Amino acid sequence: MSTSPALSPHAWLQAHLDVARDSWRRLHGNGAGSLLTVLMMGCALALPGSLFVMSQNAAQASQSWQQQFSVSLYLSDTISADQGRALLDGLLKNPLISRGEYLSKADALQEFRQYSGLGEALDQLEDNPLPAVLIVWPRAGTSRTALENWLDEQRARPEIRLAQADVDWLERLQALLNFGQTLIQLMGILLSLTVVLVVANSIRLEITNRRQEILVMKLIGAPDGFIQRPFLYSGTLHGFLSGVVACGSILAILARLEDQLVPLAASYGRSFELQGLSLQQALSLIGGASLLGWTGAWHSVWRHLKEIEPE
Amino acid sequence: MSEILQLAQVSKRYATGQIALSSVSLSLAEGEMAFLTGHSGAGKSTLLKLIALIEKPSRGQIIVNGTNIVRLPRSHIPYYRQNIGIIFQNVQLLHDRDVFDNVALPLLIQGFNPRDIGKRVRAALDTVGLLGTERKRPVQLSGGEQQRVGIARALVKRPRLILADEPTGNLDPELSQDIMRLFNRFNELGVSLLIASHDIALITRMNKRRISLSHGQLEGDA
Repeated sequence: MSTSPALSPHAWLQAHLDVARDSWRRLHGNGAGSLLTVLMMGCALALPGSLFVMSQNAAQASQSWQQQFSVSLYLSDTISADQGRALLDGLLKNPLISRGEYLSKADALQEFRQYSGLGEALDQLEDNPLPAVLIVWPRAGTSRTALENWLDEQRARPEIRLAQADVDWLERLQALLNFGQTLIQLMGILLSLTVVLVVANSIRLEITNRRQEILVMKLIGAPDGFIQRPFLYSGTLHGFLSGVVACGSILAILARLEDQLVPLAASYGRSFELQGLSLQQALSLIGGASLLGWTGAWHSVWRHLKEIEPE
Repeated sequence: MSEILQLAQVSKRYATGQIALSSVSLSLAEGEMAFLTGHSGAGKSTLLKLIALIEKPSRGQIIVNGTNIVRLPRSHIPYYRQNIGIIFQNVQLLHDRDVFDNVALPLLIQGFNPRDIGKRVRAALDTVGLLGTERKRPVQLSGGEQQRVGIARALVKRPRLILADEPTGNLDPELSQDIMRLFNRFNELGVSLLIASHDIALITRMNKRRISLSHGQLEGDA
């Protein structure tokens, strides 16, 4: 007498579709309340989401800067242009170095005049104080120690007065980025928890509102799975919609920021394109938000459905 | 004749100390229809609640269709309830759904095919004389009609045992008579019924077995 007929796949699917449609109808019917909940959840997700996308952009930029960084080898004034070029050719044979260029004293002055804005002041000088420079670019991915060793070798050469590779600031930037990313992750965890709690609370209210219905269902033999299904769907739907809201917000935030960043980058002589949210990231965000919604609903259902028993 | 329902030495004592039933033993044969009578507070409702597993007895055995339901684990209770029809005095319809959806609910719970659900719901509504009201909301119906929707909902899964708690409690004599006739028809189809009622005049007219309770004890069985 305690057996139940096995559900046919068709009936099972139909039942789930009905519940999903019913959840949507209720959410829609609830109007402003549900909208506010979904917006609140969406904003909570948009914050870490947009920061994450920006940190990704920063990481990418720092990587491309790392590939661009160069070493300046300042030559003694006793070295002629031909000797300087020969020295460069020698350096380029080292596999650590990808390319290089020779800047004569005159070239250096010309460049300095151009970028420093001290044109007239420089004209006052009797002779050119700037040394000739070899600018070389280490191959991408060169380790710090290999580079330091190589630099020490160069510093030992009599032809070279000074060897400078300012990679420290890049390392500092990297550390800063790592710190920022950790901060964003922690914020993400905290705000995800917020989303779960918001859904849990919203579903708790829904359970309270439908208390009578739950009682009747229990009386006519509805198993827990059947009773909790609409609430789980509702939570998941809340999560899904908040994910969509978050994606939209992130795209809007990025578009607004790009407007500001492009002129800023241009002023540094760089072209800049903000990497937006990839389709895969957007889908992950929406999927993750749905999962958070489901989790919140499950928590509420687990806590409150047991309390409602016919008397 | 085999027994569909057996109570052996069933007692119910509430946490407040109130004794609702003490040592009640009775049985209902397969296909039998019986009335449960007694003054208000005699234990009629408690008895039905114990059989429906809304409450657990403090002592004793309740055997329904060969299964001792007292020891049924919590997770099995819904499936047990699916196999009995329960009719309440305060009907317990869902007011945000129409008549069809209310009657279809037990079938939906049991995962019936949508096509079968339609057929069965219409058959059940036809039996209680409410065919054509499918799309109405419960509030658009009279008290008697609502009670009949409740009966159709209990009937739609074709249970072998129906429990009814004061099913005519809120109805005038004529409507009550109609409901009783309906129960009589189910009984003729082989359904076992246990109906709690304090309407002595009505019960007398039905001329069926009468189980009387008084202060939680079995007083008479005839």
